Amino acid sequence: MRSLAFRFRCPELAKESAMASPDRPASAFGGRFRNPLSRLLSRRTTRRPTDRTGDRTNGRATGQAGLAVASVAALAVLATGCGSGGDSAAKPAGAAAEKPLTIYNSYSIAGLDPVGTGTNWLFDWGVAENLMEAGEDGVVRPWLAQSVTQGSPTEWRITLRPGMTFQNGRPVDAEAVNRALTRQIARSKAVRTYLAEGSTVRTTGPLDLVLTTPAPNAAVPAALAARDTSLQIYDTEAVEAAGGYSAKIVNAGAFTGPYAVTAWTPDLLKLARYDKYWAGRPKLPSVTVKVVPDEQARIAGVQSGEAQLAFYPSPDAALTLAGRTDSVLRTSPKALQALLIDMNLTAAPFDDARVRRAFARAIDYRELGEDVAKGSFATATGLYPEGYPYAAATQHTDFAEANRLLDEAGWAKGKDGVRGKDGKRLTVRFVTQAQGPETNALAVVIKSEVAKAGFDLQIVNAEDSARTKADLGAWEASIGLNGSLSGTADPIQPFRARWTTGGSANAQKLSDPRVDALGDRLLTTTDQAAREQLLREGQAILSDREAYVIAATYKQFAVVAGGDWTGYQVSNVRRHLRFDTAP
Amino acid sequence: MPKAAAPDTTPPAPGRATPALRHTAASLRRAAAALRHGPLMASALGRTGLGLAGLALLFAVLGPVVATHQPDTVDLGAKLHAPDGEHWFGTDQFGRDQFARLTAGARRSLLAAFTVLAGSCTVSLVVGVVAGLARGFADAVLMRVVDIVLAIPSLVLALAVVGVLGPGFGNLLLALVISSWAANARIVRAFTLAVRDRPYIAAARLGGAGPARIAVGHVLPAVVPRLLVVATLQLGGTIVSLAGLSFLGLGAQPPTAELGAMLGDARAFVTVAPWLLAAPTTVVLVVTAAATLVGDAVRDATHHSAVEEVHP
Amino acid sequence: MTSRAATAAPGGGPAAPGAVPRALRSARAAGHPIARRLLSVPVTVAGAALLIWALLPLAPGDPARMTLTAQGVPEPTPDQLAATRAELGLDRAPAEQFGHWVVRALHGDLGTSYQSGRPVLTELGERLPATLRLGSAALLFALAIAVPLALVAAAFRRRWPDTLARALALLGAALPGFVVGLILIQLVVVQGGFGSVVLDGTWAAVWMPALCLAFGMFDVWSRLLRGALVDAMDSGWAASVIARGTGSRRLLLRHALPNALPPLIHAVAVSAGALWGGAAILETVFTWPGAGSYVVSSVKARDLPVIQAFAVLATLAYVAASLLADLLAALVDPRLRGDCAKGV
Repeated sequence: MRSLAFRFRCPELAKESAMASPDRPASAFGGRFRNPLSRLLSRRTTRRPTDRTGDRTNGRATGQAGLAVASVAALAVLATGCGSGGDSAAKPAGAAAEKPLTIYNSYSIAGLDPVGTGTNWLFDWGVAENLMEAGEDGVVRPWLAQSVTQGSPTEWRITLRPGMTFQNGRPVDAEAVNRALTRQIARSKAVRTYLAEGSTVRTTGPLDLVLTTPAPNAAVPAALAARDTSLQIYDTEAVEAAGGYSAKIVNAGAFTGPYAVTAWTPDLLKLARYDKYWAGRPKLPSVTVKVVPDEQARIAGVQSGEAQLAFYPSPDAALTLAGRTDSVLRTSPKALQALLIDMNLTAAPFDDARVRRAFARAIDYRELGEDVAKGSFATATGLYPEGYPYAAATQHTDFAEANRLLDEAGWAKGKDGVRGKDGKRLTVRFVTQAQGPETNALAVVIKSEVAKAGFDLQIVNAEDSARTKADLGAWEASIGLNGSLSGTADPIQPFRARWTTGGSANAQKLSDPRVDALGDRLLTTTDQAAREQLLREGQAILSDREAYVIAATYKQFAVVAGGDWTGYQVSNVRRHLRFDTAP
Repeated sequence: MPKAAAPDTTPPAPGRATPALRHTAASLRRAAAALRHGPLMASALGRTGLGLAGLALLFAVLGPVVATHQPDTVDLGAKLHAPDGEHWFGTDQFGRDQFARLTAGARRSLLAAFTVLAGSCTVSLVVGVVAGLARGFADAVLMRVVDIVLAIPSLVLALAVVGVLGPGFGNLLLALVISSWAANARIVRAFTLAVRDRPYIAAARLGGAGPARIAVGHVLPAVVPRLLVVATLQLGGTIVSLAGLSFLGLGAQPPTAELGAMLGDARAFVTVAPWLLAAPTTVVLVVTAAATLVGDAVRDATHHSAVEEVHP
Repeated sequence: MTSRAATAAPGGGPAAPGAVPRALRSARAAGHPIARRLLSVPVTVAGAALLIWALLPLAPGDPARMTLTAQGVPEPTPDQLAATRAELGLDRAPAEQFGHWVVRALHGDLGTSYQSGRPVLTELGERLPATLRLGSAALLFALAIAVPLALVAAAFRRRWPDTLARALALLGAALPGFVVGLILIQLVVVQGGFGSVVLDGTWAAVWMPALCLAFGMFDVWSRLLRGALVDAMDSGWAASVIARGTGSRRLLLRHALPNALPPLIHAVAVSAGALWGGAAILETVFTWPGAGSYVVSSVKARDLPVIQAFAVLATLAYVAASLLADLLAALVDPRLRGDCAKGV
């Protein structure tokens, strides 16, 4: 009997142990989606006692069972022991809570060398500065420079403030500024969009320089102020010593701002006060900026007191925070950022101006501005937010006209309300940005609005919208922030980059000789009134007559603030951390 | 011994026509009998499961017909309304009717789960039957591949596949098929091994039927019904996996109504609009409970016949 | 769900008499099952590694460029790109690349995160303790729920405690852990004012996510254990034990439970693999600073080296757990341990 029982068992054991490793749920989701076979096989093991007639070995079995339980427990303890060993490493967030100001931010922090793109965050957190700045009112004024004046159509005289130093103590004099500007003009692609090749800098005194452009360039003050030009002033020796590796620029004191970088990884930035900052002693001893990609986690972090400020809340935050006092939604006084919709002009349906105009008329701008998230958006009337002297009202909602234009263009309404032409549906693949939750919220509403005119909007939520749009066969329209305006107050560079033929940010392949001509004249016109007139003409073509591009809405900058910081004043122009910023 | 299983205990004589057809008919008769007399209806849990499944199907099929609103229609004047006569399940942050979205979401999630199971079963049938019939080298290689795929925890594999392909509902379905076929392939192989030496199949082989003919004409009809039982057991888990990954934003993209995505959207509003969480939770609960109960009952109902097939 | 149904073994079922000699011969040829099992592990792991590695070249984008961008070199020169390509071994043949990757992996180098520019193992290593804490706590919770539930259900078979246990198991099977998490956050944290929404990854905070993770496991375990217990108590030898005057509680705890343990051990090992996926979702819900939530954000950002490394770690942990379970089961079950060794 015994040997028979054994003959039954052993082959099974061999089979089973050969299988045992992969013996697991077919699609384990928290232990569910079980592989029935594995359960059945396992249970067969237990059935074996049925074959037995005695219980001689049961005492032994029990002993071993006890041992097994002990081993399982030991295993668990082992695992948990491992866990507690790394305890300190597991809570970087907790450790940062001692710092006076902790900010949770959404986007990872690109490199520290201003020659690379993506260093505009250096302004946001008070690390680096330019010769000029865009004020809260959107007007450009001197910053590190005491004055910038035009000597001749191609010459700009710059005088520096006296007594400024880099964070490493070296003086910010004309020679140092000359080196920084020259390095940026030579190597930064971003600078090239403002200053043509051949622009030169020469030192004329201890604090005086002259910037010469090869041709008249009206955009020089804007270029010196722009967030995105990367004309930051920094200690070139300290940066070059790092050989292009950002981590080595940390603690080099290469910049001039109120806060110096003491630690940097793309998802964590630590800043310390620079005591000898030229405008005054910074109010905060240190600042931590941590990248927390999940919006709910950022806001919850403020509510739990881990962080004081959470940046980039979605429009939903206004609804979810209603009535709370431990965390409040703060918005900037002005809505200086425009969320622009651009259309792919290379293919149907938006190669037809009537369809573009219909799309522009079918959007309910009032609803987007007022109803999606009250207090976060403002109704768009043209490409530039009101308040800019050159803003023109070029957009309005008119469903009847939208329908008429589409009828004219030959797109007939189908049974399901979606228009079609030659068997093709009026489908618009609409690219949004996963990074910007507001683009998705707006897209959901826009989809519902344009459906009334017969458009079938399909949202494509892209992690990297620029990469998605590079394939012109993959999209019909897209929505994104015209961020340049907010930190620059300069409309000229974005105008040329986005809308003139071959512009660096012209993803929609816009090519219109009238727009190109306006772009060229803007570059050389220094008279304020004349420039504003050119910009208004541009808007009339761009967003009304041809409807190449429209503004969906204007956006205020929003921050969720908690703790002592509920009175935080949000900057219109993304200057989140100034030397006098304090609770 | 249940009566329903009796016919199968006498295999058809070799050489007689359409043994496969006979077998399928017997399986169907057995299933029908099981439905009438078997534990599926006999046990309270089986009846409950069937009832819940009927409810869920009714909701997914008839819901969109009954719904008074469209799932994607935005009404910003009616944001976050609590359930009332106008909006039976309330509205979300866009004022969209939650009842309409929920029925559309339930329909989409159920269809997606069936699609994943169909894909997984198809791949596993091909691999499992080939391995079981071919034996030898091909079997060893195929089963080694199955072992390897099974060594990667399946949700981790699904995450990795979505990571490579990029988030999206189609990619998610593909990822779930890729991460679930291997376990089923092993089951199919075991089923195939159990039937391949049956007298009528041996007879067909002797009668000159090629491997393809045997696989399609004789093995598949015997294996598929049993695989369907296994698949029923996996339905609940598949729905939960889909919902979980969509919840993370790796599946259905906005504004698509899908159970997991709706749960993910509800997360932000858990304080101010708890109904946004409650409704999809209930649907997931009902659907998975129904799938689990029915799966268990079907397994119970077919168990005896399965044992008898192994011990004729 | 009844005990007899649960023992149904499709196909590979309780060995049919005719099949035994052949199976036995193959078992003998293979040598000792445990040895064979140990031998199969490296092959499986290597195959899984190959599969996971193969994901990277399939994905679009230039790994060298992404790596350099992450290191703070946003616009790398062709020279820098070439150097990085050489460093990453991207200029070699695929087979060589895989070998290169394996050699580096064996030295503890699983590449550089595209997002952070730091070594992937450093990134995951920082977050692993929190995940291990969560996972081990969840396993303990699940055991603490499943074992008593199964014992009660088996002791009061077909009476109300059995039904209750079954209903609880059904609830566990039907309600996804992340939904339980959302409900707990709403009821306990938001309305009860107890605990916190953003968890810091410490032992003090582990109970809530661990409970949710356990929710996805205990149902399988308790049903499995109940079935095994009932089988054991229905068996012939159990009748003989009872005949000798053993009480029913003693029968359950001292005789049936030990015999029911091996399948449970296997189920626990299976869950140890499933935990990694479940943790990814629950860590996101609870913003638990572990490897799981990190990998979810990496999936969204297509940070492939991180995904790869996570899959490798999860696979290793899973294979190790199931191997351990095999050994443990052999140790626990006297019949599995001794007899076969003697027989072969």
